[in-house]
Amino acid sequence: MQDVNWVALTIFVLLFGFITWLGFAAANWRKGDLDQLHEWGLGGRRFGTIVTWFLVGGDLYTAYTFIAVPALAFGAGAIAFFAVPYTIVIYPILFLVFPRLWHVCHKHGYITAGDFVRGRFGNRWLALAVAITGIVATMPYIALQLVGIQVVVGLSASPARELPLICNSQAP
Amino acid sequence: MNDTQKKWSGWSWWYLLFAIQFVLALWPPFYNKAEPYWMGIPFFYWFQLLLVIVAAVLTAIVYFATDD
Repeated sequence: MQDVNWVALTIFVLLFGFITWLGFAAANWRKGDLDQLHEWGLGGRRFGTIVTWFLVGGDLYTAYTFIAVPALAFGAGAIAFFAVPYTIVIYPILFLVFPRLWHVCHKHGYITAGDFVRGRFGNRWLALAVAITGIVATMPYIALQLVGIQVVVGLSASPARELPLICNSQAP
Repeated sequence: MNDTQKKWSGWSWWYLLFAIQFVLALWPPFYNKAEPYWMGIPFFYWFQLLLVIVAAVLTAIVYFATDD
């Protein structure tokens, strides 16, 4: 504990406490019936433009973006800039696809991608394959975020530690 | 489903603006060079960062042009 960065640690603890408090406060704000799946999973489909904007931002700009990509740029150089054209290309695709997807899912009450595939193509095995693929593909990404959080916590306690995320994953 | 498709499947020529940023971003030989520098930054880096802004402007144009 000899080289603890007290400023960074204090900011981290204050922010962590504030976000935790905010989460519990938000749970009681415009409370929905959590026994209904679309209330639990989609916030009752009541997210407007601002909330959705923050959600998309939180999805895209993660621990990977703020730690692994800069670390890759630091360690390997220009190859890390794959993330920039990737983002430039992916946003217009989502711009074209997501409003239609939202509209159809809202109209038919779909909650997951599996629901949509089952409704659109009428094949429950295809829906199962999509659902399993989604779960399996998300797992390493969740693991990566946990490693990222571990690095953030470790760095705020002891800034002398190495960044182990270089070349760790392909996911943005 | 039918009226949904009628309302949402329309093609707009404005979408071709996206082709500009697709071609520019997905063709690295075009920007894989150091010259010309801008404020000491090689072309490879500042071109991609500029392209982010250009892409955002193009997306905004498409949004407002197709917003009906």
